[in-house]
Amino acid sequence: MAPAPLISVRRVTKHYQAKGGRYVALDGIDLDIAEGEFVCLLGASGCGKSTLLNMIAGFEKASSGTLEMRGRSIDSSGSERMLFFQDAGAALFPWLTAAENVRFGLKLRSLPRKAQDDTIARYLAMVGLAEHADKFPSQLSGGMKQRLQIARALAIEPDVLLMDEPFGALDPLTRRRMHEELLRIWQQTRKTIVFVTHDISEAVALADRIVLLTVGPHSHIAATFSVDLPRPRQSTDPAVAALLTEIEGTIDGGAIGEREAVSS
Amino acid sequence: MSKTIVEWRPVAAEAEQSDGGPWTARLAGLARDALRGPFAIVISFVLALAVWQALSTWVINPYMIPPPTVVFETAIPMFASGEILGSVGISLVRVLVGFFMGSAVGIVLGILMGRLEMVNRLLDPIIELMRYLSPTAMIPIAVIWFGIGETSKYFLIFWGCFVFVLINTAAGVVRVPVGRERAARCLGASGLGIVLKVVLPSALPDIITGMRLAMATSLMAIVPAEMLAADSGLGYLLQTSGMLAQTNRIFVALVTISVLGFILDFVFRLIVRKTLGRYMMV
Repeated sequence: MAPAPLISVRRVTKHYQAKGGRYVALDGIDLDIAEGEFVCLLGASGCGKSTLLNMIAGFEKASSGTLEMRGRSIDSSGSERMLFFQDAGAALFPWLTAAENVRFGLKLRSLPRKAQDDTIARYLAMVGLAEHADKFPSQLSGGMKQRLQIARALAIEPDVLLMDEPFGALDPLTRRRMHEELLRIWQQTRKTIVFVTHDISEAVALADRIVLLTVGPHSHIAATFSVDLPRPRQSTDPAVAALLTEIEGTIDGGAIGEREAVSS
Repeated sequence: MSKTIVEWRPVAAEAEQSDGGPWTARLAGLARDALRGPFAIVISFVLALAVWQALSTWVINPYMIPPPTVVFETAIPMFASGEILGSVGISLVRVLVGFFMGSAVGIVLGILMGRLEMVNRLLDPIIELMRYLSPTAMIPIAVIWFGIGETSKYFLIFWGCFVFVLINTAAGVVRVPVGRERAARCLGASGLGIVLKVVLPSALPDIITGMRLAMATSLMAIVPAEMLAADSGLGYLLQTSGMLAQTNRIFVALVTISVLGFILDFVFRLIVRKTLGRYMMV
């Protein structure tokens, strides 16, 4: 028998009141995420994958169904589940230096000053920002801001990182470097990561498991792909290429492109 | 100059250069360079004073617009006797008391309106109507409520300030990025901590903008308030000079008010830069 999942999502639906009736964004999502797993939620823009992520974070409520972490219902946000944003400029505190941004969460834990300093130094070093500790976010590049966001998140030692298209706004070269860094940090810390993306190659490069969602409304899980390939994964590797083709085939086969009628 | 009212485009200046003889072109070039230099402000004032002096001497009746030299001569004894500084001091205290009261109430209500939808729905329609009532419009009722003592002046300045600060604060609070607030919650902040450690600092640039507008309004509001319901201050000085038809003293008062406003804004911005600089980065 498999060990109990860290996070379990059961028959979750989400609908909104919209003009002209009810808009059903997510319809019947079942998903288990194991401790230490790297899961990618892959889907087109507007399919509800960010909504699902925010529900796991506890910022949005499911219309029906249950979300649990370690068997306990998720009904509010908590620091064991750290949400992580694409727009690092907005998510960081622009009036605090890099070190102070990391300190924010540590202070709230009333850690002794010395322990705070050590933790800050450790995580800034982990993301390669040790020399930029006294810079403000506006003085950092896009990639550096994302690394600072990672350091700030890891410093409070959450169990789960919930990442919402974190590298979507970066240029392709920086994004590749961030993938390498994230994988290195993940292998170092063994955090559970739920990573939302609309980029197939990004999902294939990173995930243990790829969860493909259909386009909304009534978005549901079209297919899941277990990716048991060694990292770093090169797109020239035949096994990686075959997986890319398989996912693209599933999408072109209609699983992600199909549009169902809006129920009213 | 870093900040002028109209952004001048160099295209126009070059078109100008093409016509006219060589020496006029050179003169125009000199003038252009001078106005782009660091002394543009000085040149602007010297030229304006010269034109004013010339007009008041040869064109306009100097009683209507006394020339700068006369204004200056009038000002010296008024400064020496402490009349000007006394009036400035009295008006300044009124402005500052009303300004800080209005800002405090505006910030608190603005945060409540920006954060709580119910408060916003309840207050927004009323504020939308109230903001058309200038401090001047409120003078008669202020005098009935508070008499002609200091309280009515504080109230009128407060009235002029708080709406500006309120509207800007509420706008700034609404604009706080959702991601920043959610990140702070994940990091362990909640309740009042979110407001004080995330919302307030994020909204500070907007709050400061509101306070600068309010400061300018205070200076515009103190004059009618002191003209109609006071026996001291800059407005009172204007009022008595007007009744005695002393245009030279009126001009001294007008120049004083302008300079006072300029200095207040300068000092305010300086204090903001020195103490809150890190919050002004976006």
